[in-house]
Amino acid sequence: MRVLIIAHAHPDFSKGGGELAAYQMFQALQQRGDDAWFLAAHREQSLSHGGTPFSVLREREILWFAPMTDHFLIAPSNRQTVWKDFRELLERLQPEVIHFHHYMNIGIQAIQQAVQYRKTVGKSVRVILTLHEYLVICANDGQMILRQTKELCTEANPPRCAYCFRDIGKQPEDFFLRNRLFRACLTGVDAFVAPSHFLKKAYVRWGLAEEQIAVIENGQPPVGKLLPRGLRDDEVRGEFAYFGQINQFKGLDILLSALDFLPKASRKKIRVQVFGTGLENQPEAFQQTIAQLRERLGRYVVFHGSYRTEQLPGLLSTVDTVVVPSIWWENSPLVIQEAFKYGRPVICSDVGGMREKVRDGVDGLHFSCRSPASLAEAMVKASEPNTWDHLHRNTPVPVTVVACLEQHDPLYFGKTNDLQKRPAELSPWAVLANVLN
Amino acid sequence: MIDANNAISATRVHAHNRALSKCRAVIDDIFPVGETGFFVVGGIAGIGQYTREIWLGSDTEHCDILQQASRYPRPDTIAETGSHSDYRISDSGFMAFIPDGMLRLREERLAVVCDGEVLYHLEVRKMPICGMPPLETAKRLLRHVPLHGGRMRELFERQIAPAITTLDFPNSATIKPTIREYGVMPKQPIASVVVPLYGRLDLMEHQLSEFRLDAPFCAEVELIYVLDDPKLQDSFTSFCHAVAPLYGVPFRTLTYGINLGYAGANNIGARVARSEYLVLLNSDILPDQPGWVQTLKAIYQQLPDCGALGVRLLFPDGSIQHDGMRFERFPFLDHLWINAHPGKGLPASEASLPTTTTLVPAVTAACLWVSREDFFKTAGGFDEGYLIGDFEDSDLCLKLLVKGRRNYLTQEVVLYHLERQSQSLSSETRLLREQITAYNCWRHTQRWDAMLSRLCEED
Repeated sequence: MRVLIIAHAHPDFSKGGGELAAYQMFQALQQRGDDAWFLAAHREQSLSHGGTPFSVLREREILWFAPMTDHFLIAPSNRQTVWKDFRELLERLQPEVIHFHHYMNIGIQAIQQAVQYRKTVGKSVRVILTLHEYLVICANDGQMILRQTKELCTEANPPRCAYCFRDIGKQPEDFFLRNRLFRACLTGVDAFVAPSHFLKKAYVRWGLAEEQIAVIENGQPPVGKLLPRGLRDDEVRGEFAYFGQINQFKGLDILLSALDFLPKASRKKIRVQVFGTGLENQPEAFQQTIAQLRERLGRYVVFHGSYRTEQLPGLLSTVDTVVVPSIWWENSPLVIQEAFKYGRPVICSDVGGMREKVRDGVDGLHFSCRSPASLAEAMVKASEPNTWDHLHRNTPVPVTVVACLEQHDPLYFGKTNDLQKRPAELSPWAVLANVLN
Repeated sequence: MIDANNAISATRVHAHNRALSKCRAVIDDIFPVGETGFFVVGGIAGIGQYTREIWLGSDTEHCDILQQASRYPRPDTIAETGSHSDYRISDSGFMAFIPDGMLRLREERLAVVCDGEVLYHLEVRKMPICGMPPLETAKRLLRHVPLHGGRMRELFERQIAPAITTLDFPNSATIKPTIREYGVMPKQPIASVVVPLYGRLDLMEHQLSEFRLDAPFCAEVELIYVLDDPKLQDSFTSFCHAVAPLYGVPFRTLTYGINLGYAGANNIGARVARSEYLVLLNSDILPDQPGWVQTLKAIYQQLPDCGALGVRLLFPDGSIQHDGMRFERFPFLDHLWINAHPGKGLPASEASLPTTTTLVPAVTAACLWVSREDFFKTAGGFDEGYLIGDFEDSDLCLKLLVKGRRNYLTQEVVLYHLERQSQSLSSETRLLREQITAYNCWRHTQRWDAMLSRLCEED
């Protein structure tokens, strides 16, 4: 069976979890003997030819030059590449399954083109979309937090969205049109995949049919769990770590501030290691906050800079617990899966996808989102060796890529959904209410 | 007043204080109208009982502009001259349309005269006229009309309307549009949807996105987009080329390089339409259900003597935008008749149950079903004398009523109308908009006052 996997970026050039998951599926399909192709978008002019948006990276891996200009309507700057070039590609490749892992860069209209292609070709072609984020629901980079205050947003409707975007003059009608356009573009998709129940719930609230969304966690290449870090007699489990891009939504400032809230007894026994870069791209104010915390905390904070995925086992062996202090909902953070597969418990904010993926008191601990004091409490608990052992023993083995692929088979082989039915409009506005479980 | 776009302006020449105290005349604006006329707006004040005149022509052969002028309050004029004027405030301003004024403007000056004695001259600087487009001239005329103070009607009737009527507006009947087709048009369409475009093109894409999901629409409806905005002409063609294959909805486009206004654009689209029935549709209307055109046709065929069939329109938040129009006198515009929208802003669920089709005096042309024959033969198309766009729809509905047709509003077909407030307008632009609306409103009342009074007494 010929499967075309489409991603908004290629892991060779971009480090996000979404493109990595897409690529791993492509590789797993190849390994089990399926006729798989990978189409990845990119924005590097230098990698593209003139006269065509396509170029080749390796056999069966096609790159698509797709600079996107309209982020609000997720529209490509050049529509012709969607209805002409992409369509021609489909007609040449003749895939039986077209699996989108994203619509950023290529434009959400590409999904409709796949649906139209299915109509003209007459035989069974399945169009699948894996949802890795909330862009369709929230124009604020898909984060579902308010632009000015950065608070968590619990309800999306055009008047509220317009109010959130009042600084750039958006009106409720703009969001009305945006929602309708997206609903139209997603009509005809056979099945949606959500890596977390939280994300599925958000999309059901937005208007996708419950039955059409399957919750399938992203697979991970299988590895062995690491041994715990060796401790001296009087030592506690005091090595905590932050992995990943440093940006203002991932809460590094909360983690560093938490060290100020530690009780005296714990203060000299707990340290935070930071793996990752990106601070220099953040707003001035955030950079200053981190710099000040760094200076005050002295040797209790270590910034290691960037790391490669291959280095993870080595780095995690020097660490007891991974902290994911994001201030937004998240979906299924890759760092949680990576921590678990190597046997490291996770402390995370008690909201959204994080809360779902980490079981409080079982394989990790929750803390009250954005509260350094609450995080400090959790860190003290996790530093207690017996508690830590319990959490460590319960860290789950993440689903393998092969198992993840097998969960997709019913979607790949199922019957084509020929409904022209568009995602419902629940009330005049779609409501994203009460998603806090 | 000196204005870069001004063809002529007037400045005072050699006036002594004594002369000024007797008669202080100020010209605020003077500009050509049509081929031979000009329009003058100014203020006049003075101390003492004199017969004051402003002469156009020579000292020996002249006419008095003030005789032809209409007077209205200009408190700012009095303020400028101090409170010692023997002129009432109510007469301190004047505006006049002089149909042959440009021909009679000798020696390029106007004389300010008291009791037959020339006190001083106002020099009129004549510069080469580049030919202000008729709409710009009309706007310049309307800018001076005070909407309050009770003189508005008289100014429209005696000065403004006569001036506007001499302007040479382009008429749709003389225009031959360029027609392009995108996709394969339905062979025998059951209806032609005509959509005028002005100012923005993105809404067209949103409409196509909705129509794409409406299979009966794509199969049986002729969709016509009329570009009424020459500024967008270049980008329009490439826009259509980029967007048409993306949605696969067949449509035709009409372009003609000028701005005709709402009435003209619709008239041209309707003229070119191939089917028996028209659906006039605004570009900011979005359908909610597939098959709505077919539903409208079915409803129309059940209604006796139907002229115009309108639909319920909702704001995006689900409240009523239009549920049929009713005529009311508007006290704030000197009791002219306006088109009221009962129920506007109410949640649709509260507005009325059950959904029905009812007789109404008029419906909006934002979404209007009418037979092509009724549109042209019975009603004569949209009246292109309204400026820019307003009241053409109620005008059309009244023309149909006069010929024995009936107008209906159906709540069984509902669409969204993204009637947006234009937030970014300056107060000056907002005022001009109001003045243009007032003119159209006055013109509408001039024609229909008697009939509307009768209609509303019968209620």
